[in-house]
Amino acid sequence: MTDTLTELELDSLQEIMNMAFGQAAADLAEVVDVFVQLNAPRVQLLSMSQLEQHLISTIPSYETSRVVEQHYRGEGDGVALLIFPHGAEHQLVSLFQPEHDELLESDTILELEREVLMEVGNILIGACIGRLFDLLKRAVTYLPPRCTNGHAFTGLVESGGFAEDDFAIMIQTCFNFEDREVSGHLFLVNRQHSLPALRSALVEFWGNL
Amino acid sequence: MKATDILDTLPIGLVVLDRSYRVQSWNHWMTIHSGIQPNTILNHSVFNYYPGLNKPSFIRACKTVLTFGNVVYLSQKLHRYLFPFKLPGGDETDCEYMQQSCTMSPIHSEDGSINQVAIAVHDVTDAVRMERRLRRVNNLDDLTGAFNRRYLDQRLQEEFDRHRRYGRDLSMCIFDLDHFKDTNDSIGHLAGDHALIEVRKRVTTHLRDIDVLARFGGEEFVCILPETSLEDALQVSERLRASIEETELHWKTQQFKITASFGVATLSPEMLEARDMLEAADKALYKAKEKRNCVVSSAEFSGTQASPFEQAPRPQVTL
Repeated sequence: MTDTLTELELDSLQEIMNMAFGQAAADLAEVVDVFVQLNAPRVQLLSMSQLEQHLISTIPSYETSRVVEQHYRGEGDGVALLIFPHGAEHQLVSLFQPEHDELLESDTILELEREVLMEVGNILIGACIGRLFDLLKRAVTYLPPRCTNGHAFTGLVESGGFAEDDFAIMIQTCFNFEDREVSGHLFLVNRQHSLPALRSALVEFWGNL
Repeated sequence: MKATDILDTLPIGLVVLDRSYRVQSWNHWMTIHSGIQPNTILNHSVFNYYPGLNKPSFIRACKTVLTFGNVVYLSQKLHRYLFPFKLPGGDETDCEYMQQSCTMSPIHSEDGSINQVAIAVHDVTDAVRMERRLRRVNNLDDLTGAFNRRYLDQRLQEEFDRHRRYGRDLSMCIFDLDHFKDTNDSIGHLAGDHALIEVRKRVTTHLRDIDVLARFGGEEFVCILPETSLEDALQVSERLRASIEETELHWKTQQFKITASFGVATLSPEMLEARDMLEAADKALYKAKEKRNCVVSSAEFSGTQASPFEQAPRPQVTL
């Protein structure tokens, strides 16, 4: 039988996520110099086979949305997915583009927009995961982010080493960049085998309070 | 070799900064490319030596590493380089500065706090040069140096999408050299090639950086004119037409002139695809070719828009 978190453990994870995301929002305001509103995250368990359907029903025009995918390893093991609606990258370019404007003719705008998405994604993902595992006193390392779209995402899940009946802990939040009218969704999908480590971290965390 | 010496043998740059941006480590690779010895720069602010780094994107990257403890990747595509290491000049694809892909990572103290940032600097200049060369081959017309048809189709679609997003004007002109076959027949095909090259050069001097001049095929060229109204596009086209007409061409001992006919169109709400505008400009060109050496707007096929021109004479050759 597949190991999952109990309701009590899910509730405690929810509490920790609330704290982590509160701190992450404050940190982000300082780091990117823009107020990023992070909604209170919703934690739930999903099987990998339900994941795509969940994304399609949660995110408008999911297939054309942009997905920044960043795997993390260590005492937490999973993948963070930052999903922007199609076209959001155009808004973000002006916020994150480099200071020197000399764009060479060989660089298409599309490529630059993709790079900007990855850079923004890296910061947001790092802020949220970083704060979560900080609180849990667990160390994680990150692989470089990759950018794709919703249409191509199913394959990524399959190639990410997830089994169909694995349970993923979905930590879902929405974020908004103030003044930019850009919002998106962040999902953290933790691999099944990281559950015991997460469980012991939760026990330690509440035991130390 | 001591363990710390390994850093000096790596074929990448390694720099460690503290929270005040003071250099704590500067490996041999950095010394070679910067000309700055470690004992000169250590414990000094990196901004003293590289003031260009004191900019929001770099500060943001450092804060991200120090605050969140995550690794930041600064891609060459977005940032070009962090440390401006001048390169010797070269061909048209050459880069003035070494192109760098950088990774910034946190260094944890024993108590778990993060007080230092490690920057790994990878030289990706060769890859960038190769990519630029390939792009040039892929995007440019071999003979004239104008963009090719493939690139034109791609950019037209991108500009069309941009117009859809922001609603800004988008116009284009398509022009065809008059009596080009006669030029080829009377002076030779190499003279014809020379005329195409000179026309491309001449026209380019009248266009902005954001305009796209592409060879559409044979003796036909297309100019995409972003953020340009129909009225302005007609003026630009008239300037281009006059410029071509004025150009004296020389081929060996022969001197000749050439003219061009222009069809101009602007994107209107009823055009649902980028190719609709191209088709409208092409129809206007067809009308212009009836008179030759003139500019015709797609909005009014009944006559010339910018100015009525006499029919162009056949190419005149001076021996």
